[in-house]
Amino acid sequence: MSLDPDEQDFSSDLESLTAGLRQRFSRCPDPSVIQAAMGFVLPDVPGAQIRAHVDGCPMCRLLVRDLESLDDAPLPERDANRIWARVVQKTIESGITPKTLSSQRGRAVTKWWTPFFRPWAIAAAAMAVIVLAISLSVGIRLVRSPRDNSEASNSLPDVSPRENTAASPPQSIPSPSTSTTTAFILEKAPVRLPASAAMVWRGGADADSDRASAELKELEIALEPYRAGNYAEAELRLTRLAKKYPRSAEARFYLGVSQLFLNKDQEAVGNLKEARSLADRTLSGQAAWYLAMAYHRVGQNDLARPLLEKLCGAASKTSPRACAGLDELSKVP
Amino acid sequence: MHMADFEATYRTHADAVFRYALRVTANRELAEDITSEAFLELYRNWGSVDLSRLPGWLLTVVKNRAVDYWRKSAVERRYVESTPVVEATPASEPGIEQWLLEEPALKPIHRACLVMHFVHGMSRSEVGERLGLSETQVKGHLQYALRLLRKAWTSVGDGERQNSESGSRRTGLL
Repeated sequence: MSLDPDEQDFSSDLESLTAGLRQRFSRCPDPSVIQAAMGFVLPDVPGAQIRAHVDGCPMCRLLVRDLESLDDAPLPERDANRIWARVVQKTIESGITPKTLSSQRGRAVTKWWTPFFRPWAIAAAAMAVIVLAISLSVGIRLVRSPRDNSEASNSLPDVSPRENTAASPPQSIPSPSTSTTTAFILEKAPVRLPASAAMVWRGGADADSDRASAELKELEIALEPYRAGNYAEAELRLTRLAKKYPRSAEARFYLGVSQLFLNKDQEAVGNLKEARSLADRTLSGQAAWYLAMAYHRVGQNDLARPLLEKLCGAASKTSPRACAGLDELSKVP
Repeated sequence: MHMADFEATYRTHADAVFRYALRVTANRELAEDITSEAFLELYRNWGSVDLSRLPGWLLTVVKNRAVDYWRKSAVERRYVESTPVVEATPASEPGIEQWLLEEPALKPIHRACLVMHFVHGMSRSEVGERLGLSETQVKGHLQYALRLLRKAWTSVGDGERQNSESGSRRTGLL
């Protein structure tokens, strides 16, 4: 710790003072362990020991009190946005794509089979099977001769398929993702720099080149969170960039794609439309594909269809997916 | 469910969930991770979770994750192995604790920096990481706290010198 010159005479005293403090409280647990013990998340034995220590240690009590008051500070919006981006990323990685759920908007996600997989329902069904089996067994014994007993016991598994299914554990609960359309699974668009980048790299020295260079640098910075999968932050940065450079097709395009990842479909439609109108030939196809996806998400399949038809007919990387998308749309009434 | 509903739920409860996660993990990075895990769990169970039970449901997820973390944590194991019985530190010499407790100009942030740095031997960057501060901010808080300590130290020393010419300043504080 660097001290002001007039504090130098205090430093030797400080050294002995702090050394004394450290020695005196050398048995104090690490602050993180103390907090975990106070939050009852440590195993019982060390947890109770540490809480007993804190009870008798004025320094630890003080620290716990101070940290609690500091931790009560509200979460800054910047941090909240960062965590949100992580949540979105994890939902995508988990395989339950936001698209899957957004297709169910407006109604509860409770499935008809859900009540059958509650523990009480399974237990009740199992009991029903046992009771039915016993009844059958007793009934058969009553009506059949003793020599038929072996057959009667063999008839135990002969319960109705419905009861059998209910009693068994849920081996294959229909996954919501089975209803997902495969062609419209959202994939991240690779980052491509604008054509003006070539001019910058060639070392142009005029005003246009300077402008392009500045725009390119800002685009690179704005695309950092996009590359990292932090779409919430990417949306913020690209929105600012799109305002500053309204003719930037890339800003609009990556903004639209980020919004698709954030399920802001309607906003994505606007930005991707704009990107498509501004884009050169290379980016135009990509913009058309993502725009078709955005239209599909907002239920405007009539607008998605002509885009897909054009993409499907062109020999491009997106053609196979566009054709598959068209095929899927043809099944939609 | 539309993602917007889910995001609205996140915005409503993220603050409480993160603060609790930070409290039980004492690690900002981990707290952020566990918070996002809790919301992912909510996402998975959306439709079967009664939303009126939030944020309690989310806090339970956080607590379970924190319990798992500490169970696996080498830090906790090392601590338990090295210190099988934790004894309370006797508070026979109130000096500096009294100053820490009673100095009105010392705010929790200064005190926490001081105690974590000087008592627990944490580096400035470690303190900053725990408290969500930059190293420069931690340095500023420590300098402020030390100036106050110096002032108290000097006045105690002066008082003792007045009472006894051979008096030691150290006895006043420790």
